[in-house]
Amino acid sequence: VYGRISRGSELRSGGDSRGTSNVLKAFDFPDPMLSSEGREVTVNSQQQLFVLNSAFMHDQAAALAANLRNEDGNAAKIRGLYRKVLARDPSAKELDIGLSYLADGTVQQYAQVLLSTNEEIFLP
Amino acid sequence: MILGTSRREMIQSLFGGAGTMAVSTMFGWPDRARAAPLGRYAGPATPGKAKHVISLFLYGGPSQVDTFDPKPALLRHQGQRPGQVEGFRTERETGGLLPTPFSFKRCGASGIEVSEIIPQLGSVIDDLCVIRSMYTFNPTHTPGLSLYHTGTVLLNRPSIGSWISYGLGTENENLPTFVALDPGKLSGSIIRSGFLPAEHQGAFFSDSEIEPKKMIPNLRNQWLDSQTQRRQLDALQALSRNYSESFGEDDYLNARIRSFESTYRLQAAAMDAFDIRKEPEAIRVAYGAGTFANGCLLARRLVERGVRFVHVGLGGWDTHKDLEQNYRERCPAMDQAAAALVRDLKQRGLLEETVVVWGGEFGRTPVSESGNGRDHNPYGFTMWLAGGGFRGGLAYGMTDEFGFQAVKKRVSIHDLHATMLYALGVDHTRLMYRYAGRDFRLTDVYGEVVKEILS
Repeated sequence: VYGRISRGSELRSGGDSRGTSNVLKAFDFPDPMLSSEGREVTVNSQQQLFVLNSAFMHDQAAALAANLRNEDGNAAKIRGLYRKVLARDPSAKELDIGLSYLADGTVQQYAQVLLSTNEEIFLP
Repeated sequence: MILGTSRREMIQSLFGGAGTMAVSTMFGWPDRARAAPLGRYAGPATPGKAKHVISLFLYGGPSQVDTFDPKPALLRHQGQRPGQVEGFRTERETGGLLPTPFSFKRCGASGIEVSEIIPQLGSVIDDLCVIRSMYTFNPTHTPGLSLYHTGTVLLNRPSIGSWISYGLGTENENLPTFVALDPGKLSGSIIRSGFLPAEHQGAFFSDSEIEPKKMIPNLRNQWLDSQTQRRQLDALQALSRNYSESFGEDDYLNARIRSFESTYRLQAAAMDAFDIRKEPEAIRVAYGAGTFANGCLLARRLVERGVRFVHVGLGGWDTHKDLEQNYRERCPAMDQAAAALVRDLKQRGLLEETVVVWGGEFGRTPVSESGNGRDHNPYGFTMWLAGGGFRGGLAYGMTDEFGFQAVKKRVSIHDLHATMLYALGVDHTRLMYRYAGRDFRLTDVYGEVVKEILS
């Protein structure tokens, strides 16, 4: 989600006059005009709205799903998603949760779920 | 088995891992996330009965001698330097004493003198508790602003809104407890939760938009219906809880689990709560036009729905020059909206439980800057409060004869914070948070409750 971190060059993604993008701002990116020892850590509704509803998240999920088009079967698709998103395999329980979801949902929707996990959003 | 087991354990034992998700969907929300953040204040309740705060904040520092603190001596000594005022010092180069271009008039039954430039506030003066002896400790905007909102110049402490959110908790699980409205960029001190749990940070929205969908980015999902989204969320929460079980309790992860639930509900609730177009025409007209009017009206709608603390910001009060022209342009909209808010809250019976506080990070000098402006002045300035148990029709404290320094019944920013918490039922010495090896308070080691300004 953080994308490219170059201070003051994010105007294209709809930033303010100081050049910080709205997405970075929502996730506590420090003001480029001030010195800052680090990022403050907050949890707010704007972050969750971004994760749930933004075009960015929708597009990334769609791209992931398209990428996994040729994987055969739901278990393989879930494994593929975990490798691409979290760079690891799912645990048995995680696979279970994913399979229950896919019984009545799409790979794209589940890709968005994985993109929304703390593990992904706050990748160190 | 049933008596000795939590609902979640029972469900898991019956259905296995995936059961958590499926059954929580059936019941509404997952149980852990369902628990609303409760108020954490555990000290004794003060007699204060207020439940909400609306903070009208005028960035830049409004001038006391042109609004609520008449100083006829300025005219008598026009152009002179006030040599006899002890500790007289200004930040920039200043000239002689500058009388106000506005006349003052006694208002209401209380007869408090108010400037002609804010006649609407004059008309509700019997509901305002005017403190003419405010002082704070820093003459520069950023630290001054931080003092006003957090009680310290250090830029890492929680704001008063976060403390109140933390202390009193939420009354409406569908909306944030602490909302900040401002048309532009918001300074961090205003909404910062600092070391308090992350969910007490203020939710910042721009009141330059009045359509909820435009005001709140990403409020609606264009592709998925709410049922599908609910399923996504249930899966996400199940993954998060699973994750949390593997590495233990974490405040931050817990806050995010709760935040997802409140955000899910916010999507529907905000379409109504944040839409001032649902107000009758007469009310819209009473508040007037412009972002501050919209912000004040929205603040009332939010408080009515249980939001604890609403900050409404209005910039443009840093009048180093051209004060008169600036005030003639700027005061009418501020005056109308602030007065309408007080009247509206009163009519709805909400004023008793809502503290309205009005002010800026400091006041301005009685001496001129650039000929027709005024410099920063933290040594003495005016703020007012209304409702929430504050005594209306009271002018409290005094500045010296020129309005430079608070001299009688002085009220520091910490005293004000202590008194606001007292009005909310909270003893400021008992609302604490342990961090970095000691207990912290909004007022730190300072603050005296000013009981004379409470009824």
